[in-house]
Amino acid sequence: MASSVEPAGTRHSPTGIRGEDWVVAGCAILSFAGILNIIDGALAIGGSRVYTRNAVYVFSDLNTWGWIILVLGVALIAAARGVLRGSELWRWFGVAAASLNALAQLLFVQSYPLWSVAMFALDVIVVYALSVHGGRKLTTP
Amino acid sequence: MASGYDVEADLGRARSGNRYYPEGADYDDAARGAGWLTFATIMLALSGTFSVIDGIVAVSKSKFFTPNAVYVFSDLKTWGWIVLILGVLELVAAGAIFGGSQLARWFGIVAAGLNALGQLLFVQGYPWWSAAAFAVDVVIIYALAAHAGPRLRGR
Repeated sequence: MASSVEPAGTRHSPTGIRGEDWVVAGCAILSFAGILNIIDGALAIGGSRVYTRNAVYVFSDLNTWGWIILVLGVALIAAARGVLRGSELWRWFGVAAASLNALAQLLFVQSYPLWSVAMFALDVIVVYALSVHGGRKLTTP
Repeated sequence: MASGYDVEADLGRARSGNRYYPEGADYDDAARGAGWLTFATIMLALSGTFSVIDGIVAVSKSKFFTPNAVYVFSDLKTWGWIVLILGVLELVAAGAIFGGSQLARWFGIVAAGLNALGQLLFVQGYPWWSAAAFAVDVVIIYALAAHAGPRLRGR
């Protein structure tokens, strides 16, 4: 099916998935992670009981971290929209946003370890998709 | 490798930041290792930054870590310094890979390997942190060992 749309001689990556598909997957994960981040941040700002009580943070408190996570969530969603437009700059913005979120989630891990570790894993997948597979298709000739 | 592929010219383009792949390249970027190299460098920087923070917190804010944890040897402060130094080593490796030498690639593998080992021995301090850092280190070793080779060959 796909071969009818692709130009002759199109080669695929060793994973068997086209680079473009990885980028689309990366964008989907970016928006998904961004939404989760905003929920995560809003709950933290509201001082939800979802989080571990009396958790010790690297610095500051649950409220501050809630704002950090919320802002990163907005950045992730912006990145998801931007990467789909296909510029090299947006691609690096996506990589930077996902990396920063990976770091922030690790530092925020005390509040809700399983949630943070899951988000961390998503961020690593995004960095993988955008850096390994995003290069060719996104450069505008 | 595709025939007629000019590594030098491609690396020059990559460094100039304008274009990653030569005109007419298909979706075989992964095979060339350029993307993987970028990925490994980002992950090295991420893991290095995290280990440095981890080490600083261990040295300065012991309340954060599991109280009365038993370590393989020595105490929390010592481990804090060890992880801090391993993190710096990873950051140096991330910078060195920009230079694009085969030596830097191996240096990155060794740095990530040592950090993986250090984090595992330090796992009592804060299991979630160590496990996450360990996983990233393994991914770095995979990226550098399995995919970064062709990109740096002969340099």
